[in-house]
Amino acid sequence: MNPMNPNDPMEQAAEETVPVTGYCRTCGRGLTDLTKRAALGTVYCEEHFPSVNVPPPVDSPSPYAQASPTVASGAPVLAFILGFIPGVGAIFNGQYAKGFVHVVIFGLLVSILESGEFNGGMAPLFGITLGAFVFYQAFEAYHTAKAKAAGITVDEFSSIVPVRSRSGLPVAPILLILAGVLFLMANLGYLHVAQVIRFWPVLLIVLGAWMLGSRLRGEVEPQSHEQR
Amino acid sequence: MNSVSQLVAALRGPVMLIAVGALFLLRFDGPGWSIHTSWPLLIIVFGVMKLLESVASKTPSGTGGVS
Amino acid sequence: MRRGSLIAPLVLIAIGALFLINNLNPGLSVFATAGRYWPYILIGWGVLRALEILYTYQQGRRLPTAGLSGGEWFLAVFLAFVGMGITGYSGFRDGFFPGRITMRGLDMFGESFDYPLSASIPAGDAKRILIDNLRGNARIVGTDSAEVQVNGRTTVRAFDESDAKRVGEQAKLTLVSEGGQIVLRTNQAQVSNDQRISSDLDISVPKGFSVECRGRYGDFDISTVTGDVDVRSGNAGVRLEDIGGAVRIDLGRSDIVRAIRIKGSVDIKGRGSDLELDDVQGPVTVLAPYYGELQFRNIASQMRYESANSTILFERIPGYVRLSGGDLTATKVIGPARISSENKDVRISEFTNSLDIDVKRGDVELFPGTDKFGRISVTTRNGDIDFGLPAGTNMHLQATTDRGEIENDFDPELKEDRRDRGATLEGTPGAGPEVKLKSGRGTITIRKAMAGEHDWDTSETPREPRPTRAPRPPVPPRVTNQ
Repeated sequence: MNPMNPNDPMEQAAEETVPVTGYCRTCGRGLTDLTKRAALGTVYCEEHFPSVNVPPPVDSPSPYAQASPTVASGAPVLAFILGFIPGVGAIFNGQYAKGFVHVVIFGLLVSILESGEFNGGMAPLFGITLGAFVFYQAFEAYHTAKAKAAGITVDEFSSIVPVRSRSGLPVAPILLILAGVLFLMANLGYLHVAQVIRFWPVLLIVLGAWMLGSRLRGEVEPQSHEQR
Repeated sequence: MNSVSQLVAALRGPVMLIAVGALFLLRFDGPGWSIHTSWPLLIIVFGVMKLLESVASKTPSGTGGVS
Repeated sequence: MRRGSLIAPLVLIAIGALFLINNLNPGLSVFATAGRYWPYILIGWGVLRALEILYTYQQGRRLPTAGLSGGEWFLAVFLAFVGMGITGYSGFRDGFFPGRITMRGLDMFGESFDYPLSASIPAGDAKRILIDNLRGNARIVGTDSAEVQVNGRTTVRAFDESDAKRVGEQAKLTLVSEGGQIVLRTNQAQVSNDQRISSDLDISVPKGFSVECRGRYGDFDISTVTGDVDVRSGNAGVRLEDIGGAVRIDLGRSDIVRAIRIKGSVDIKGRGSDLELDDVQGPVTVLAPYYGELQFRNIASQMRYESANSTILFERIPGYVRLSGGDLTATKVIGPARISSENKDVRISEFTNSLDIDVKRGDVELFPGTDKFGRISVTTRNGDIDFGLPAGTNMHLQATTDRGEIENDFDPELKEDRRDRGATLEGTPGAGPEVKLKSGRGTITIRKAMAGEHDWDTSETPREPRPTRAPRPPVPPRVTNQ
């Protein structure tokens, strides 16, 4: 690893030879192990590293809010109302990809209900999920808009579980590929959805084990304001 | 100033777009797969791109940009 | 900078080229071309963007964090939806939705294997048949024979023949007599993934039978039975002809329900699209939203339709009542009739007895044609009222509009009174029924009109019922590629 001057993160050339391990939350600049500064459960570059004494910036605008590129005069109430229309709340907050994902989830739930495939058995579950999802979108949009209004930079998809452990195992991509393979096999008739669905609690167990593992290793948990 | 992982990240969108178009085409210009069947491939492509991205970010990016 | 990239002009060029090709080869339709080749636009777009990014990388300039912006994804998805729409429209439907059964949900990949079905059983004392066919169409015909006969075929989608055989073994057709009724089951629920299997059935039963059908997906055609008919399905088209008993239909979804020459009552529940009832002796009750076109002809007893925001009631319908979109059109109907709806334009001609209309938004046109009508009450909160009747009709008229005018071409004796922005018109040309017209906002017109002047049906002769579609004949086992 090449030594580099931690006081001069603008020295971009040095980064070419050092692996980037994170990106500044405020300015998005690539950071190496040497240049990144952990604070408030995430990383910042030297320039945007907040003073640790700053109180959690929920209601009062924080001193570094002005530097944030995503500060918007978000209207949380409007976001909340628009949030009831699938995807629109997220789009209002400028999170297009999330809006798209919301629309897809909503559409999937509706088509599952409409298809009548699960009539009698799972239909109530999907019905309730659909209702809950509508409210989730509204409140999600509200909280995002509120955070934005308060000058907090929000990730489009921040996770409840730390999907990238320090060991660097790319969990999210692997999970995605596995899910894709499962769906494809189901579509091709190699396995039957009903048989797979029976094993859904395994997901909970794996998730719990993962969280347990990362906590035992003493990794930093995301702060509450990120858990959206 | 660009690393390989950034390149892979930037290419993710276009690659997904090509995959979407290809899946829609498969139905017409040949028998067999329709988008109804093959859509999970899009998830797989997305996952593979993300995986490549994280692999590339860990390998020393000596092959990076030639600025 | 990439924001002003080459994509937009190239998309324009592609669309232009598409239309040019279409103009130079008039044989090709633009829709057919677009429906076939639109995915290439996505691919071309992706390739161009990828080349742009590689070029940027090669030049060592700053790469975008996302290859495609949110807006671009939105556009791409929009394009895909439009493309799928065109594809469906231009007759490539088979390309996207191979077959009825696999149309919804997770599509299956594999081959389809057909097995013929055949069974028969003497009717004995049984007077009814229960048909339980989860997926597939069934046609039931009453005949003079004294036995129940079933022909048809089962289609299994599977990867290889042994798999198909296994599935076929699990779902064997059973035809038994139990508890005074004949029970026909295709037992598709025995198969772990019942979506892979469907059975088309051609069933003949003795004429006097009652028929009860259960299913999840598939059409039912039932004709010439004198007993009751009961159909319950998740998604079905139902066609009934010459039924002697009562009809009960309960569907989760439906493209069409048609019942012709029914001696008993008709009860419809659930949900659906088009509904056509012709020549029904018993009372008709539709307690369900049907979103398409509804037609009622020659209903000899009371007709009642109720959905979330409409209630429609006629005592008898010797003529017809048609409901489609926001319109209700009726001719030759007998009251007492009641129509209340959120949003409907109502046109009724040649009606007798009393009539009560209450709409929130919509125009109302009434042409009784004769003086045989009873008490009339029309209320629309927002809409015009057009009331035309033969000259010299006796009645006690009271018309009010809160905002709007009243035009009186019927009888100058009627007393008009303008106030604020509204008007009233009152008078009694001769002792007769009470007629109350009331509009919250709109014009009320009273004029002379002759009988038969407003028969909207003349423009469109009663549609001949389309012939019922017979299931495909059974075929010997064969292997077909998808």
